[in-house]
Amino acid sequence: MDKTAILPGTLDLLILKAASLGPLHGYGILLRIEQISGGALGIEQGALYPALFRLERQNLLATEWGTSENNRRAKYYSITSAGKKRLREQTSGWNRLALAMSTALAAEPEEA
Amino acid sequence: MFRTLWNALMRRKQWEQDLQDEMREHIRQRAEHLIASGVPEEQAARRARIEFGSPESAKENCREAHGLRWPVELLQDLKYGLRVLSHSRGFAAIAIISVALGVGANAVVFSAINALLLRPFPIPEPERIYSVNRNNNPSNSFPNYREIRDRNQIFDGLFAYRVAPMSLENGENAQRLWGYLVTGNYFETLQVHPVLGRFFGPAEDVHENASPYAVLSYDCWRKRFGGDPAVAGKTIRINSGVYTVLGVAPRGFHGSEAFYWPEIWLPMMMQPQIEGRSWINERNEYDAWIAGRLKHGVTTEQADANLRLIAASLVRQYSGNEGIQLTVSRAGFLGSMGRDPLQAFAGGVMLLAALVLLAACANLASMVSARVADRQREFAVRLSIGAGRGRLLRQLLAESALLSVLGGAAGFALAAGVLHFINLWKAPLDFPAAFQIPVDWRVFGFAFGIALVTGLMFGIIPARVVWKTDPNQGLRGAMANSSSRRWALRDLLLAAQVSLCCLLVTASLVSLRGMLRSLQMPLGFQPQSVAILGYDLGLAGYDQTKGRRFHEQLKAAVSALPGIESAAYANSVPLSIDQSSTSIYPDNTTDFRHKNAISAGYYFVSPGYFRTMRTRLVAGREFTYQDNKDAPDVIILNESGARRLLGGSGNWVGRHIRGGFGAKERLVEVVGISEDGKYETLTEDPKVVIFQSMLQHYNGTAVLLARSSRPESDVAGELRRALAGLDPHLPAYGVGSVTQMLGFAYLPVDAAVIALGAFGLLAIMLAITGIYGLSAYAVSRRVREIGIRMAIGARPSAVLKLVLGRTGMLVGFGCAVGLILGAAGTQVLAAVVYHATSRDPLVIGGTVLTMGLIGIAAVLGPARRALRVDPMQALRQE
Repeated sequence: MDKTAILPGTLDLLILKAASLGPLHGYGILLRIEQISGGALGIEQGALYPALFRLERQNLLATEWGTSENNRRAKYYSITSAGKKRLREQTSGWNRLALAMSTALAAEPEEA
Repeated sequence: MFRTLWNALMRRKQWEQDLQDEMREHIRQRAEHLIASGVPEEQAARRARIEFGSPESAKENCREAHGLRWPVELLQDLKYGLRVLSHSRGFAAIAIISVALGVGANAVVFSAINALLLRPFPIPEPERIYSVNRNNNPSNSFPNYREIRDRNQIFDGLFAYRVAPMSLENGENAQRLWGYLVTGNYFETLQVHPVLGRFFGPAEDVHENASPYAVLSYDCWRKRFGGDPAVAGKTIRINSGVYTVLGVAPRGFHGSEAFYWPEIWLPMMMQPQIEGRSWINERNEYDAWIAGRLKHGVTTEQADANLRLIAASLVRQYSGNEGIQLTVSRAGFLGSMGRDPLQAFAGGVMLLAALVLLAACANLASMVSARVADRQREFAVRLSIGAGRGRLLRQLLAESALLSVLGGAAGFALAAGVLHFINLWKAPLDFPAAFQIPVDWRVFGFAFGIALVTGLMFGIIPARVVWKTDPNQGLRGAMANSSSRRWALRDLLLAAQVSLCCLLVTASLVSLRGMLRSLQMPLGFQPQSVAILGYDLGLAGYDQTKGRRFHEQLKAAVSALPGIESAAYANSVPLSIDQSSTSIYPDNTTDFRHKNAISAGYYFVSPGYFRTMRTRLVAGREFTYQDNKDAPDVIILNESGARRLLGGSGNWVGRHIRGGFGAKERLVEVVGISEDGKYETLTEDPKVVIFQSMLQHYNGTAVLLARSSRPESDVAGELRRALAGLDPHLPAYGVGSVTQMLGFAYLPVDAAVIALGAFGLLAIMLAITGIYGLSAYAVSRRVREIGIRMAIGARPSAVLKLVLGRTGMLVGFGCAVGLILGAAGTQVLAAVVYHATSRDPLVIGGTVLTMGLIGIAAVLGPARRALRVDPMQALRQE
């Protein structure tokens, strides 16, 4: 699988998106990001957790200890209302940027 | 505080466990996932781990993202710091001692300043108590006091007070005690309340000799009355009068002068009874000191303006007030007389103490940076396994803080010990002066504060090294070699430290020279071998006739003692506390206004005084028994006085001067000229002084002087017995030798020498450890190089030059800078030591010599080590 390294600053956005689809543990978030990006976006596994802790500290994610599908203790992350708000803002911001970028990059040389 | 810390620790432990679990779970799930997708089981776990990367690094990042948990991290850092320091005990010991010396010296100086200048008197709002000065002197006439009290608009209350010795008679013997005569509004103005009984008030201080009441100080009550709870209402006998004790003042209350601790307070109106002669209504006697409580919100400018108006009207209304100027100053140090010199002295000493601390800091910083250079490998390792640079810095700061707090604690203990001894010391005075320097929370806070600042200052140094450490190079051992750089920071620090030390050595030598000079200074008499005893006939109710007879009887009794060369009595002697002055005029004066008066110190002396004190007479004769009250008044002037009043012709004896003791036009014949001397302080400029015959000017207070070849202490005991033989009820005071009495005059010089000497010693100790540390380090780093050089035939001198040349250069450079600083700092020194100059060749020579010795002592060990390097061993080592 050929994966594109994600752009700096986009990891938080992807995590929030993944968590907004339902509470997940750390590995689950990793999987969900791969899944929703069609396997195109790869995340360095070690970098995931610092990002999770950062978002938790900013109150964008809430955590709870629960049991995983194979009956082991696992920490579940779910999105908070502040997190949802941040996700909306950043999504629209990202969309604008993506549109602007693709428009700019699609420009053809004007014919004289 | 500890609970929070404990909870935080427990939470932290749980948090770490959770983090660990979470990551393990992640790797496990990943492995299961891999197995499910067909990876063989034995490879899956390995791959999952590799994919995850370094869990420690991730954890560290998580901790950082989670935010600083200061108590936990601090504890971690401290724990690690302790471990590191316990591995290098020598370094830790030197560092702690350095900090302890620096902090200890500063804490002692600070506590003295705290006790003298900062600690307020134990009364409400002490900052509102101000003295009223008359031409920069706290004393004023009592009639003036009444006018100022009644006319001013700036004081809530204005009281007058007067230091008064008195004798407390109980049963057979009499004790001398020092007290205050105070106006009736004294206690209410200071707002103190008795711990027992009551105080006297304004209504009990109205008519002369009509209010025989007394208030005891707490210490007096405990010491002299055994803390008797029923003391209020009892009667005591003071100066042959009967007084009723009204109450006891609270503990620690001692009025409004910092150095004076009275034992008893009497109403001012009892002054005639206590002092034998009333000045309550005298406009020309300045015997009352004035202080009061400023109204809320009144500034000193407003107060001075109001006092200017009052002074102007006093000048208009009453003669004798010409040229009077009234100003306020914070109470506590003899009006405005004491505070400024004391503050200048304190400032100078504090500055020197700060220099010691700075030297300690420089010392530590150079050692720490040498150590850090050796620890670069450790830093590189820790950086490469994922420690952040910030965390590493915090760690180093924690190590420094640990050292400085330990050193600060040791310094505080040191200071407390030194202060304990200072407090035990009793000033050689017949005077309740107390130098109690308590160790209070301010001192503790100060010591703690400067210890931390010190720690930060020398902890910052390694920061640079950590910041520049490149893990790759560090691990390969390719660290910047110190010998390849020309000057390292630690070299500069050493030079700075040496120059500070040199400065302090200069200061101590200057003060020593000052002391020697003051010891050699001609005093105008020879204090050695003279025993002295003070007594006060006025206190015991003698009249003039009986008093004259008593003085003579005592002198005769003492002269008859074995081994007495000569004996005499006088109202006072030079350089004792009791000094008085009067106004005199040249004999052609016709205008006797204040501005034409010459202020002269005066002594009433008996025949034989000059012989006993060995004061040389430049011309004329001594007083004889013919100069008695039936003969015309005669006078002996000192040389300065003769020059000032009689001109420089030298033909002085037989001429006349006018004035003295209120009788302005009185004409007196000069029968003798004495050599000049020191009268009030050792540092004064030449003063005009007159001597008069005590037979012609009776004085109840007297000191008896006896010169003898026998030990003064033996003679002093015999003087006491001789006095008791004549009148057992008469208290003796100030019994001892004149040399002892001079302790008072030498006090400032002694204090300066002790302070500067101590700082000089500290600086020397610091310089030795600093130079030793750095040169030992230089040798140990280059053992191998030395070995090679010796193996190929380098001579010892070349080896020494190689390893210690730099240190020598640095020390030389530091000394030069220190000497220049010392020369520039003469002004500061002058505030501390009389006639201080650091441009004295002896001082400069002494400083250079001392610094040279310090340098040699410090490098001796390392130099020997360098010369003993065995080439074979050194080469085999690596």
